[in-house]
Amino acid sequence: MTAQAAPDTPDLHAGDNEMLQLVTFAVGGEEYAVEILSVQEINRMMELTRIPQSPPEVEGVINLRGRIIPVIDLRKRFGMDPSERDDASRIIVVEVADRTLGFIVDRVHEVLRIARSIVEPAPSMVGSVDSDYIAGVGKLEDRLLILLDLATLFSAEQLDSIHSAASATAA
Amino acid sequence: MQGFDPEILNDFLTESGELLEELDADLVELESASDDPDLLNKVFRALHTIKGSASFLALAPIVSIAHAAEDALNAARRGELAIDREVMDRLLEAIDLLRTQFDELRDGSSLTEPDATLVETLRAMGEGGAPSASAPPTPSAPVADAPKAEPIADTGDSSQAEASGAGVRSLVLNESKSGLLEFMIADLDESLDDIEIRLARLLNGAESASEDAAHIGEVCEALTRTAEFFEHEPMRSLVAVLGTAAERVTDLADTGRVQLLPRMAGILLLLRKQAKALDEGEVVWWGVDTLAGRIADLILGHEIDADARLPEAADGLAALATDGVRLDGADEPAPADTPDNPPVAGAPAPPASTPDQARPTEPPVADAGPAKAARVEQTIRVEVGRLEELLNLVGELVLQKNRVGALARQSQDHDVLTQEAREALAQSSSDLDRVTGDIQLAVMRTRMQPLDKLFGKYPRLIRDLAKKTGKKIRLVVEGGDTEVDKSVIEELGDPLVHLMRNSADHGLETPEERLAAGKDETGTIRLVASQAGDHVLVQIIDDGRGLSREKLLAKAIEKGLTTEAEAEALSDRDVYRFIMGAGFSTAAQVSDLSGRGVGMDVVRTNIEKLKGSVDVDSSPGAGTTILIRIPLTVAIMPAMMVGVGRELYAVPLSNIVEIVRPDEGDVSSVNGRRVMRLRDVVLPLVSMEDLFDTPEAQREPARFAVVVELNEQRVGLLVSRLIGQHEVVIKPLDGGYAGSAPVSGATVRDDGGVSLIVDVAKVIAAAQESAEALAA
Repeated sequence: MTAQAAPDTPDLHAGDNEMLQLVTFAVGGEEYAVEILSVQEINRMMELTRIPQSPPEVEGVINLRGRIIPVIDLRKRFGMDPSERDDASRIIVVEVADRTLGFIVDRVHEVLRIARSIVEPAPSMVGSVDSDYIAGVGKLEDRLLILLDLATLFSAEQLDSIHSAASATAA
Repeated sequence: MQGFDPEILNDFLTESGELLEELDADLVELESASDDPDLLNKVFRALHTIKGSASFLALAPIVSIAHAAEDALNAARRGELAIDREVMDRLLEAIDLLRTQFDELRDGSSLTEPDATLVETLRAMGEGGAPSASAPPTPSAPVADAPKAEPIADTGDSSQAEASGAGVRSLVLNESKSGLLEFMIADLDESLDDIEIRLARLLNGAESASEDAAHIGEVCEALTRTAEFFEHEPMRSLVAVLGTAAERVTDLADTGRVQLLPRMAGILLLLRKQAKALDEGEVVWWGVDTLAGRIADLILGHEIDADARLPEAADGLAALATDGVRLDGADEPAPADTPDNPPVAGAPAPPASTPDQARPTEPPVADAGPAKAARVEQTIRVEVGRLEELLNLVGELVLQKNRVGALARQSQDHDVLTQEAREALAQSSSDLDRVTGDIQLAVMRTRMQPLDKLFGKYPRLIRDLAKKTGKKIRLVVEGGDTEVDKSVIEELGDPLVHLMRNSADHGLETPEERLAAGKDETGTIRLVASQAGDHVLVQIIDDGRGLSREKLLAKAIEKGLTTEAEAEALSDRDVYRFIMGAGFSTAAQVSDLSGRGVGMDVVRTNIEKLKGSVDVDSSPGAGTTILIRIPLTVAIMPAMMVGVGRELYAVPLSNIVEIVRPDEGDVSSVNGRRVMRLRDVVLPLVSMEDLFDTPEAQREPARFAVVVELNEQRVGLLVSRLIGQHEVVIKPLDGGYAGSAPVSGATVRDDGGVSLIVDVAKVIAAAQESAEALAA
């Protein structure tokens, strides 16, 4: 689980030939990845119900076979410009710290196996994302893969702080 | 204390815990009705059962206090001890201690030893001047080595038979049951044959040991139920011991097994005799404490005393002899004094009794009567988690049913289906609707519990309060059989305690004040529950001094909740409602209703969590009434779907008073706030689009005002469309994401989309806030 592997970044490149299985996807021109174990499913865009007065990056809730789960716009979460949804947009449903939630990405690329050894700790700033959310960077032959730390990215504290900041500015 | 199965421990905690809860209320009732033998018996039996089960688990501190209390009650049962205030105080102390010990057991911490003085006092009460507490009068039986059974080990047969010998009494049954007795005896004989075969195999060390043991366990379980049904306590306890032993016997080392198996055979022997006695319509009581205690020890893997050890190849009779069970009770020497008696199967079954001589042992005449009937109710225990799962599934089912219904309606307008198919679909859909409704109701019923579960605790509370305040208080409870959802019971407990305390503490006057006011010196608090449609009403009515409008107003003005100018115009109810505001009741005790720093606002919050409401009424000098309204269940509710802009929201139907279509002319603005005149009342209006930040592009003209009410406050919610009424399944919104919107959850619509459920309490609060902001 990413949640366990991520905080101890050194473990990620422990040197052995252990393989990581990742789902890679694009958000705003960068390529990201999460460990496949934390991904429950990947869905096409579906009808979202807006939640009034919720944090800005919370796009709404969806009905996932009777369960109601929140959906986050990852572009907004990363502070990027929102983009139009198109046929390639997907909702990736993950389980983080016992909570199920979805996040919207521009498109999903592939499932990839890489050796743990090629993952390096994150530099302080990668692309447009705060390094706190990054579990590591995978250097492939032709490109960089940013491994996201879902637990930090979607932790309750993160959302609460965003939320209280939002209500403070509103007041 | 280590080493026993957590499941057995849990069962003990649940079962005895329930008995303990009832004890409180029953004891207090007993204080005023100490001549009620049924009640006395019930209380006695409950303590006896707790003691018995605790001793089986070797929980000595619990046994010790329960036993002492039981002694005192036993004396009372024999009429040797009058239950006065002093006795009752000690008994209640004992119950409190038991409760503490149960909590400790639950937490896995070590058990508080009972206070020696308390135990002594209770025991002394039990002596009651009569010599019989620990040595019931037995006829001239050769009680040579009458086992002074360690009181620790007793599995719940009659205490009269406890110390030594046996007794015989007639089995008292109502007609419908006695008709079935014949079948029971036939069935019993068959079951005992069955057990005997298996037990013999176990004794011979057959390979099928675990299968045989398990089988005995199953047969015993069935027999337990039969014995319970026929209110046959001695048989029930014997079967229970045998069953437990069977479950464990294969886990034991050989040394333990050779000790246990003959004892099991001994019990079988006793059961045979019991069956025989039943033919005559009689029940035999033996003092099996020692036997049961030793079995319990063996099961737990303990060593037993050297003199309790059985020789190799001992049989049932030998076991009985060793453990001091005198087979034929009072009138004959036990035939089992020598170990070389005939084996189990061929055991001579002398007449179970010679009734005329046996009866003088003061058999517990017919005390298995009415009080016990309650326990015979056929129930099974189900984990709450499973019920919750079931309820969730039913929720899904309701959703799917709604979808099918919607599809069936749509199909009526299309020609893709034949007329016949359309009709079949409509029929099928309506059947599904009915079945789902029934299942939903049935599942919800499994979660329902009578309010008595809560109400039962209050006599004790009131008694304590009366003692502390020096007031005379009578508690009248009505409608305790009204059933509500389990979650409601859980949430309602604290508010009710708070309200009762308020009534006792502040509502009722002292006896002197009451006499001076020309009232009965005893104040009355009535706790009344009833069901009204899909709601449950709970009222707490006291005949005390009532609320003081003046004092409340003064306090409200001081708190800035209202102004002197406005105060005049407020109705009494508006004024009373102040006591439920946050922080209102915690400060200096200005209002007559207020308590220990837990405000009435907590009461209100808890009740609102249950989608209920609280209302206060009072008349000075005559008393105060608190009215609580709660929906029967909180998981599924009827709601009106409304369109706000292009979005759909659900408004709980229970909050909706009416829906009106305001004309232009009705709506006006007061202090920048939109209001409408509705039959001479000015109704504040709330734009749902504003409240829910509907994006400009999605807005639509508001054509309807949905008038909602909570705690007698009304507002009109402006919406653009009315969709219709639906049963909605409430789904929680995860805290972090819900934001501060006035919604209480979400639900899935017929079309699969999600709608948020409007939280009427928050909407009304928001409307007031904005009104105050505008006024400022």
